[in-house]
Amino acid sequence: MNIKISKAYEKIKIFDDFELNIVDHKINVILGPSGCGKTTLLKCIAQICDYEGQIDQNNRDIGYVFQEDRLFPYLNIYQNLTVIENNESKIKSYLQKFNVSDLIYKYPNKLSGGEKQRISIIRAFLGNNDLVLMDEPFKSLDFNLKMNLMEMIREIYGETNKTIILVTHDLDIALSLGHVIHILSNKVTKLHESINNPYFNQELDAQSIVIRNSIKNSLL
Amino acid sequence: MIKKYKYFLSIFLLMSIYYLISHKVDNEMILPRFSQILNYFKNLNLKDLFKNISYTIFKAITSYLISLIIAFVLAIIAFYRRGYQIIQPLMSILKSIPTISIILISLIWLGKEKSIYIIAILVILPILYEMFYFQIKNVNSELIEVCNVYQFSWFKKIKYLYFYQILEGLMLTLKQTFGLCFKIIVMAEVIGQAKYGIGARIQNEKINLEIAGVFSWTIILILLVLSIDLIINYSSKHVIKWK
Repeated sequence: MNIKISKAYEKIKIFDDFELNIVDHKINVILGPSGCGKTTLLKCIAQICDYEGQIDQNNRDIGYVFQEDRLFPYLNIYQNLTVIENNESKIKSYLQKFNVSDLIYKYPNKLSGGEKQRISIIRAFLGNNDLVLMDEPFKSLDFNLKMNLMEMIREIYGETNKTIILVTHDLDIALSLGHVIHILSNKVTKLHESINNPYFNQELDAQSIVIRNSIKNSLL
Repeated sequence: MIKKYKYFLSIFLLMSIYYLISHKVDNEMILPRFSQILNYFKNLNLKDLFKNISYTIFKAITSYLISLIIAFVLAIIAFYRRGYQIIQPLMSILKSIPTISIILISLIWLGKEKSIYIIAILVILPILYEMFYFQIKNVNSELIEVCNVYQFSWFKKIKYLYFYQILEGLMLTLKQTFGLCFKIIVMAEVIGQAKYGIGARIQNEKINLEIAGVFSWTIILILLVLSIDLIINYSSKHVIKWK
């Protein structure tokens, strides 16, 4: 998927002829500092904000995991998922697979932050879409929940093989999850570098931590 | 349990105070005794009782439903900027007109029976309009984005963005306004000297200087409003399950 866009908010340029190549059926992580336009980029890809230029996504259906859960508060979890997918057995099998089947008839206000985000991830992968956008899905979650959700994303990606674009400012998440990492620079946002991540899905052993830190230092 | 206990205690306290004062006053034209009120209840014709209650309930429900429909349509029109500029000043004026002026003017213009409905509608309408307008205007923008991302049809958007939001507002407003609608109908029946209804009976007993009757019908009205409150509370809990 090719992206070539320009975008400005009231004369403030966010993207100026910004170009990016998304690798299909891989986890693409977009890494960049806060405020560099990562969320705006996702909104442009999802076609929910205006931009100039072209995003070659062939009007694909999209799943979206927002920073907040954004579940419909007046629907229970099952109803929240049927909004996207009518297949009851598919919904139940997803819920069972990710150990949340006991939440099926609960309303979002009865769920913890981690549980809500888990449902939000399931919702994004449940439909017939082959592109999933994730906007800092681990924001405001504690370390253990973050690890659990990362494991869940790896697992769900392994099963569905959908193209994922995950936005984060956290290098550790990028290195742990991304097949490809696109690094954005600040100021009128430009693509700094796209790298194939050699450390995808590796255990956090002492050696990998040293390697990660050296990459971190070279990138920032 | 403690809450119920306190509830009954406060009723008991109120009744004791009433009992003491009515004995102290000892004048049935000012404050009838319990025994006189009970006597009035004993002599009430059941057919007459149900007929008058049904008339008042019918008037209240009819005017409330008409208000609901008009308020909903006006709120949708006001959702668009030009509509808002026309409707909002009208509602502000309607809200600031004293209820007694509405009652007297509509009695002069429309006569006894019709004016009862109009009075209730004009008093309730601005409250319902504001509720509808607020609920429609304040639909969660984050959920609008979700609907756009997942390319919801307009029907799905109305259902998942607006329907539940309005339903929630409606149930909360219903609690506050349906009892009010009842009281306004009774007041209009009294002032308008309606033929049937709780207000008509109160007015009738007042003319006959039957103060025990006025108190009895007031008690009936209180019990009716409390029962309706209970029904609304109960159904609200079942309708708004997500709260």
